[in-house]
Amino acid sequence: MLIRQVRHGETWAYRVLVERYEGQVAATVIGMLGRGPEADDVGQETFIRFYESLDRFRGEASVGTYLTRIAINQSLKALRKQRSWTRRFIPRSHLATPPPDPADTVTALDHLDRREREALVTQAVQALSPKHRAVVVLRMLQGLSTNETAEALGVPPGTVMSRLSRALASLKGSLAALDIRPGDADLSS
Amino acid sequence: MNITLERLYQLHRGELPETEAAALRTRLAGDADLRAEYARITSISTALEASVAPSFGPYFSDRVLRRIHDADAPMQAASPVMLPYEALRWVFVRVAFGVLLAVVGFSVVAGVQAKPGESFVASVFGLPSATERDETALPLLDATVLMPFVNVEASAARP
Repeated sequence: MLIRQVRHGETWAYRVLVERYEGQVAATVIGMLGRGPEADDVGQETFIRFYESLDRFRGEASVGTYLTRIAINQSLKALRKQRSWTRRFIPRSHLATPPPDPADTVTALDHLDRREREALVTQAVQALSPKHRAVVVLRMLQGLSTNETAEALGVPPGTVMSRLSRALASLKGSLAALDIRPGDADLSS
Repeated sequence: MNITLERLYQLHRGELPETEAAALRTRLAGDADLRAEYARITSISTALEASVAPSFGPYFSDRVLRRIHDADAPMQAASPVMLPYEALRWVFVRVAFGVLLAVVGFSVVAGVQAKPGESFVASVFGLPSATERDETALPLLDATVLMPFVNVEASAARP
């Protein structure tokens, strides 16, 4: 309905659509790039691309899934651009951004407040390689299934599974400061 | 059996078939290390979900719509392709309108008034009118005017 109105040139309808899906796109783009003007720009680009491809949108996937696909592709593109730029202009020695060392953080962050936890999580996710980060964002932030993630990234489902396992292993190390005890596990689900 | 982190995550998300999930839960109940692993996966997942950015910030939709509008504007301006004859018509119509305006403006400024029996155009441009009636009243080629030339030619021809 909303899409039909946008196709008929109703600007207000597209504003409603942007406001409705902004959160979903923000989760993907900010999850991939972190907060900042670049994420904002990629977010805008995502909605502009969607607007331009409205005539081709047949509704096979939901608007949210379609937007998520555009958002992840735009984010990966931005990361590739970023990487080629940094490779050209920043010395290799300055490039390494190692994940937070659990040995340093466990004692210092025994009692993390919400903001510190968020910062730690963001830092850990940003330390992943783009392809592992994309799987984490789609699977764990967007809640897409393995098959949906595979489709969005254009890789086989097996690749998604192995990338998620690797990413989780890496996050496990980085987020050791999130004081977890075995008893915390809820097996009811 | 080696339980992958992905499997544990699928259990946490409730994505496993019921029989497989039940088997994994039984295994977890008897394995403290695996339970610790599962707790960590659950915790990471919860922390990630809590860190989700809810929006890009205020006025995001305004920024998107402005960019769409800016991208559309030059396209709309450039889209009507003018054919040559349309371009010429466009020029001629404007030139004609300009001339008409100039004539009317000049006549108003100069205070030109049509004399009795004279058309407005004639009074403005000072041109003689060339109607059929005028031609009969004042022929352009008067025979008496041409007579001397005719006579000269006739005398020159005589031996």
